[in-house]
Amino acid sequence: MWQKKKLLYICIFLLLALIYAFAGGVHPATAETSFKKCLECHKNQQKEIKLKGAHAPFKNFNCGSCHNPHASKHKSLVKKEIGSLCKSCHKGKGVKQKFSHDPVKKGNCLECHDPHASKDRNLLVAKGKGLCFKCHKAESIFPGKIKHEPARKGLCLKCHNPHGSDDFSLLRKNKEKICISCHSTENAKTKKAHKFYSVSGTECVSCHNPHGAKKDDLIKQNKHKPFAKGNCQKCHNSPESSNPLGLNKKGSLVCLQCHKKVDEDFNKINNHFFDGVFCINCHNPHASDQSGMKKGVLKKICFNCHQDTKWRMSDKKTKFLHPEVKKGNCNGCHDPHGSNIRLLLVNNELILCTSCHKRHASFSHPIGDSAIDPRSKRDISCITCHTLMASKHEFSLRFDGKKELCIQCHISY
Amino acid sequence: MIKKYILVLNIFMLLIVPLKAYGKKDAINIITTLGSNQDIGILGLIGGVFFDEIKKRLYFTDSSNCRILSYDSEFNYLSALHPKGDLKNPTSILRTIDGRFLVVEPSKRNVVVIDVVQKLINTLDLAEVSDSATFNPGRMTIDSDGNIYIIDRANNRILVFNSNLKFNKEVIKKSKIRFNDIKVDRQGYIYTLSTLEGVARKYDKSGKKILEFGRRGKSRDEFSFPTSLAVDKGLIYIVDQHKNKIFVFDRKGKFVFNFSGLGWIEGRLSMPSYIFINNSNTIFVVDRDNSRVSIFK
Repeated sequence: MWQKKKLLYICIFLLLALIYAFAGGVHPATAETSFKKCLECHKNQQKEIKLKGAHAPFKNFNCGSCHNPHASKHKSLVKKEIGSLCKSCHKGKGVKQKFSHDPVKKGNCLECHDPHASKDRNLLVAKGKGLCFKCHKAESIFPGKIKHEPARKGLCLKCHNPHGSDDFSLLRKNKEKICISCHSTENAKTKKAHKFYSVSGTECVSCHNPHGAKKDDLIKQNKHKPFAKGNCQKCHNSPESSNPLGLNKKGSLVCLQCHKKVDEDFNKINNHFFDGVFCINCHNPHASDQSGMKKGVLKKICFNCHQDTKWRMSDKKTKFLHPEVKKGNCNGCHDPHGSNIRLLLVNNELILCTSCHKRHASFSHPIGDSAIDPRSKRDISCITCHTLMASKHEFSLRFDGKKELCIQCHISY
Repeated sequence: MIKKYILVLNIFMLLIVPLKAYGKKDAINIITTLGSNQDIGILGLIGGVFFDEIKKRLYFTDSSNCRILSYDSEFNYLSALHPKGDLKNPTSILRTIDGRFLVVEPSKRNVVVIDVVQKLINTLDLAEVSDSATFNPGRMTIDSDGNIYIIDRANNRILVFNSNLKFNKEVIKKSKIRFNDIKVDRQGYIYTLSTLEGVARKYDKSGKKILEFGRRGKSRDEFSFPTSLAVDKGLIYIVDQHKNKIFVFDRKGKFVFNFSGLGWIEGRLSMPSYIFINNSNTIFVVDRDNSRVSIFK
């Protein structure tokens, strides 16, 4: 008896579920009728729907595919957060590749696209440079008056993939191939300019700025001394040798034969010594638009390996960032080559912190060798109470400064 | 009848949680910590830890103060080795079967061999090692036969020296992998850790990779910044310096649990950098920012 009843309940449940599934979905024929009503109030969209490149669900009056007409947790009554809403149809945009464009990563599709309609193709909110230069400011892209033609015209997509790429700079092809799709390395002028070293298969952008520069050759602003003097053989074999671009010493030894101070730094307890040619992990050996011949913006170089620090800095709970962190000046506190002090700090933390926070050198909670943390039994320093980089508490404190921080040690209070 | 089933189910569910936890993280407890005190003064940066199974002694390097500290099996302080002031910022340490200390000295970009009995200090003979000019030693370990495995950070390879400190072979030749730590288990399997990849690998004696696991990420079983690994009879332990935790994996690389976390009291960790496990499964963790060695069992 119980078994029969159970079976009956299951059948009724399944039947109801089927009815709900079919009746609950919006039928295309009724969608147009019902969602046409939306445009009666949303008059802006009346013009947009007539545009040639209007978004298909919008054009077909299928407003319900993105919006909930009654209520939603999200702005503009959209059904989900924008990123996941778009990706529910536009699958795989910029997610299959190793590097994604920041708005893609954050799901901010509307930074570039209009969800309803646009005069520009691909529902873009603006054309070419009007779109890209909105975030990538022209002054940061063009270091000089001379501009590479595609960049000047705002044809950014000629070289870059706007969603994602396996290349860090979101290039459409890898760095060895992208330039030679327009420029030849085999003509006499190019050969002479490169002192008859064959540059085929090399990364042109390591010396040339693909957007612009101060001179016609588009070579980056700061030049390594031997490179500026044309003294290629200071580091490389002769152009006639079997391996002309090979180095005349192995790996970092070629750099350290001149950069003695850096060599000393790499001999310290904590150091950034990796791989045979580790200097070029962070530096460009020929030319750079950055100081210290850095490969790119310092923060980007550091975060390329220290991903978890990047996550921590961009965490929603992180409210207070150290000013040097905000500036992306990692070198303000850390020595990128090596240090005998923990966390690759450039100096003992008391000296380092008080070099900026001068008032705390004379007035603060007891610190130094004679002040002992009762928990760890080690000396109290700035980082006993503060985190160096970021915190969810004011003044970058480790705990809430009103009480929680103090009672870590002052238990009787 | 149904009520009875529900009651039994509830009791069963209540039992599951404590049963699951028992025998895992609750079984690992802090025994003691070795830090600064009147006997040894203020500890600086601690480099490596090694437990000598023959002499039953614990050694660790106080890199900032250029010395090696020794403790007995009950973790009572014995002495500080500071050979003639010649030792400069020692990091990784081990003791060979015949009682010589091997210590990595970053400033020399070599391994220092200290014979306490003969009172001799030499550097490791690299004459038979190819590309020795660029050799830059990282962490080291020793297997049960006394062979010594050294990471060459500059050339992304692992060099093996026999118990007489003669170069034997490159067990893992120049690769694209950056090795940050190495351990060898009692069966001779080699375990390596790559911090930036967040990947641990297991190789057989010939250097053939047989297991790879782990990745960097934000979830509970993913690493932020793994810096060291150790192996006991059945589990693999990995230190995550930025999560301030020890991750524990089974022999197949499956995440089992983690223990400890950020803190300053005994049993908690702040920027842990190195882990060593001895034959009696005592876990030694260099608790770098707390300037101490935390000992768990």
